[in-house]
Amino acid sequence: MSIFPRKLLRPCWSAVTVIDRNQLALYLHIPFCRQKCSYCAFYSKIPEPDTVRHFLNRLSGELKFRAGDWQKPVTSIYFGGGTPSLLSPAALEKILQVIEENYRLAPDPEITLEVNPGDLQSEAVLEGWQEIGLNRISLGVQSLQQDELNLLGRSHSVSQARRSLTILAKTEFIYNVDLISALPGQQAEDHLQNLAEILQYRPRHISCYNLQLEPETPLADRMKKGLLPEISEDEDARGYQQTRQQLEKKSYQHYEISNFALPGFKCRHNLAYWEFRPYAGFGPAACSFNLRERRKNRASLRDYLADSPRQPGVPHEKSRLDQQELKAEYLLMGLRLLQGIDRRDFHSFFHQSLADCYSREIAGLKEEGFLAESGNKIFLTDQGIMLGNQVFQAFL
Amino acid sequence: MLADKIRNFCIIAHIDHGKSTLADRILEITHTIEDRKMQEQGLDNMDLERERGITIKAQAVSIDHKGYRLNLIDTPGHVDFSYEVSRSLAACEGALLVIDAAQGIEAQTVANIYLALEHDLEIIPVINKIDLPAADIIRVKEQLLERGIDPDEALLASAKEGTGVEEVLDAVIDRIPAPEAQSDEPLKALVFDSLYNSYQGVIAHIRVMTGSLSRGEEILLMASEKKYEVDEVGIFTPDMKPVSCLEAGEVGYLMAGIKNVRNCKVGDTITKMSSRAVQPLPGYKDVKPMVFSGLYPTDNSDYEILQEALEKLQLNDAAFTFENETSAALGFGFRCGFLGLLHMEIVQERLEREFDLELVITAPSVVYRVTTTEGETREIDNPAAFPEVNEIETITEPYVEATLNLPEDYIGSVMELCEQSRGKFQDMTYIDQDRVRLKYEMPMSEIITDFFNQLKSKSRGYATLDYEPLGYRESNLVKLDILVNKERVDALSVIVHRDRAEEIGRDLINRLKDIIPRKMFTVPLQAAIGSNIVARENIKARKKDVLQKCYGGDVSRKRKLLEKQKEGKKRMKQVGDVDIPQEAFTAVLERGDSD
Repeated sequence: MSIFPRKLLRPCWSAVTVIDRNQLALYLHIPFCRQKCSYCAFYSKIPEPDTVRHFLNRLSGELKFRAGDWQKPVTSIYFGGGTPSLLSPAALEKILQVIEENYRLAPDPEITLEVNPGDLQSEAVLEGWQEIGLNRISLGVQSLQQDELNLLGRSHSVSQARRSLTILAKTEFIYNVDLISALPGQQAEDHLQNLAEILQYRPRHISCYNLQLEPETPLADRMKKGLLPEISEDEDARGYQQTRQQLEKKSYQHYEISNFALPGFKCRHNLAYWEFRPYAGFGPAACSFNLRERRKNRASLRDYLADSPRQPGVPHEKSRLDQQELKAEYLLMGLRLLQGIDRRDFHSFFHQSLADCYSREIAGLKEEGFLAESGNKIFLTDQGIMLGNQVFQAFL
Repeated sequence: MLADKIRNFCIIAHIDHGKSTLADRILEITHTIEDRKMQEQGLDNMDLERERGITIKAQAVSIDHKGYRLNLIDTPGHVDFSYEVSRSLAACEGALLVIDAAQGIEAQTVANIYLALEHDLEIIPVINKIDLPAADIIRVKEQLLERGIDPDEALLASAKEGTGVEEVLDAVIDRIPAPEAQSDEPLKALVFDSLYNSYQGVIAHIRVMTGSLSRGEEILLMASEKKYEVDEVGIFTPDMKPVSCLEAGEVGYLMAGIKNVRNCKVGDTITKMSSRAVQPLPGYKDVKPMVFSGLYPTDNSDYEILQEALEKLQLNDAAFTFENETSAALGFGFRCGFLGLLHMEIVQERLEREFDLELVITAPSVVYRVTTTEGETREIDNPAAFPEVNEIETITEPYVEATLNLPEDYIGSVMELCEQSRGKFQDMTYIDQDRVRLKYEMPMSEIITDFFNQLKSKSRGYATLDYEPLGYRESNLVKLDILVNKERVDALSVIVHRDRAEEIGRDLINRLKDIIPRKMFTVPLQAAIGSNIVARENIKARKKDVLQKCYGGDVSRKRKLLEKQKEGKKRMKQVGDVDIPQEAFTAVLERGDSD
């Protein structure tokens, strides 16, 4: 009998003015991938059975060791990576069990697994995940064109992606599909074709990210050497605008710059970042935030696995944010949400009014047409959404 | 110190052939500098010099060895400073010619050999880096023979490993003649460098040619006609060590409460008031800046800091000038005069490093002479200050005679470059069997674009360039204006030849299009002569600029990325609604036709 009952994630609506920060999101970084994608700068290694076993022990250790720091009820658990779908259901269940034993759980938490489509090729696999209580999947489809997947260095194929989508679409299971756009040489139509096909499966949630060239990734190196066609900002903009239109036409709510959801199915875990709520991250390179301080575990599996009797915790760095930094991060996260930020929430968090802190910046950005206001809400305009960095920078 | 126990010498070498390493070994072997005090390279003081691997200011050091006083004078190595080089050489009787055993004799070395021979210096060839696997001593000896130097005289050394350095020192003593020194004649001392520091004032580096000089004596600088009383004379060990008297043949320093290097310029002759020399030493030149550009603080509020910095810099650099200037686009700044492009870069870098200033520097210009229709002639060193086209009667510009030495293989491409740069061919002679010397008359303005870089690239680094002013000549010149977002940006104006104005305008606009960052709106870029638009391009509007995913919640990393992006913008100059980066102001330096 599983600790987490097999249960569908129920829709959730929230329209609060002051965000409840007495809740916690847990992030588990599973640092293994069969092969490294050409664009990815996240920390991962090729899995060896012994290393994986050792890692799981250490992860349990970290979860237990740090549990005392986090008393708030856990509303979401997120297995990210890396490729967490590499882990067996038993291993995942073990981690969930450690969480259940050491953390306070809110009723019906969202439990998400990031899945490589190659790992979901039969109903039985999905069945297994449901058995242990997972209730949300984030499927890394990225593209439905083989040449694009090759360019991205993805380990799965288009047919595998279609198969996994078919399996998910046959059930009521909640899932997200990740798509990447603005690839080198890609026309807006190429991306929109991917999107149109995805829409046939009608996932509850779609994330459309444009490719970001991270320094020192193979893709960025090839771009730098001029081996790949240009990434066109104009095509990216055109594709993005059409994406918004098409998804809104199909009732998806555009709720964050890169994220769309059918009503009630926003990603609760990612909302923790945007709503400036506390979260705790475990595993190498994972980040945590307790509303004052940010912590980042060292991005090294070797260091993570090194046993140090004198230091039972894992190697990490902490930095306490000053008020200025906190406010800047609050705004650059909060304004990513299309509903924007609420003056009352800002006030309740900082004990200072938004106007006292940023009236000049806000007035300037409104004047330039990047920000708009309605009641207590301040949010990005359509132009602000396209050129968000201009807005975010104003608050730094 | 008896003159026959003195040897004054310098080291001539191509960059990277081991000049500094050899100098370091000499200092070590003679215990002039203890190991632990030794910086990576003992003689190059400034960080800038060490980074660029060049010597900008001359340095001197006195070495006591086997009863002799060996004065080593390090020399600068760039055409901008050729006058300083010639004064350093004039202070010596001999030169070590250092050649990399693997690289062989290179272009610049040959030019320096001729310079040394012109000063009648005894040359001691040193084949260095013989420890390298690729060392080819026989080939280097053949090359020496081809250039009229007896290869049997060459010494073999590896400065890195310390082999042969002892022999080099012996050769300095045996082969370089002692200075001819008449101590009983009136004092003539050559200033071969002049430095300023805020504690001691000017420190003149001098070579006493005749007579002697002691503390307390009253001296006259013959060119600047300034009188001073000597506070201190001494030698460089390499730290400054006071001595009671500097005699004929000696190299050392002098301090006399001089407050500005302008009163004690390189090449000036020092004599005594009590018994004045009749004639100064030959070769003094009043070095005038040839190249002018505007320096502006990126942040207007740094104007006063910049002014102070320029004043400080000027105390130590007689060739550098500045005066106030105002630009409609850039605000308040300074018009600065330099010897050449390297000098300009050095000043700019020192301002940014030593004074932590962010600067915008406009494209360099020569001094034009413009005669207006009213009959008035004006000297103009700033294109922005040019009169309107219809007010100009004639324009003359400075010409130089450029001398280029190069291997004959590159004649074709170098001649083509000279023609493109409005050069008029004068003469071609063979220096030896495979090297030629070309002479061209050229506008100075062409030389201060990237002529030197292109020359190096077209000759694979083998060509050398030297130039002498020829005076002013009339040219068909026009001012090319650049309009950004329909506004003329005065600091982007350039003076070009009428025949090439459109081509240069098109090329410049094309490059500016990629340099100036996109804005939220379309920004037209235009090149114009008077009211006539000769080229036009649009900088497309920004369509999308927003950071993407934030997996795992690494928010501070996002914030830092944005901060970096914002910081980059701060480094630009805001002109109207457009941010113009520094590269835009010097884009005209790089000609698009380079390959």
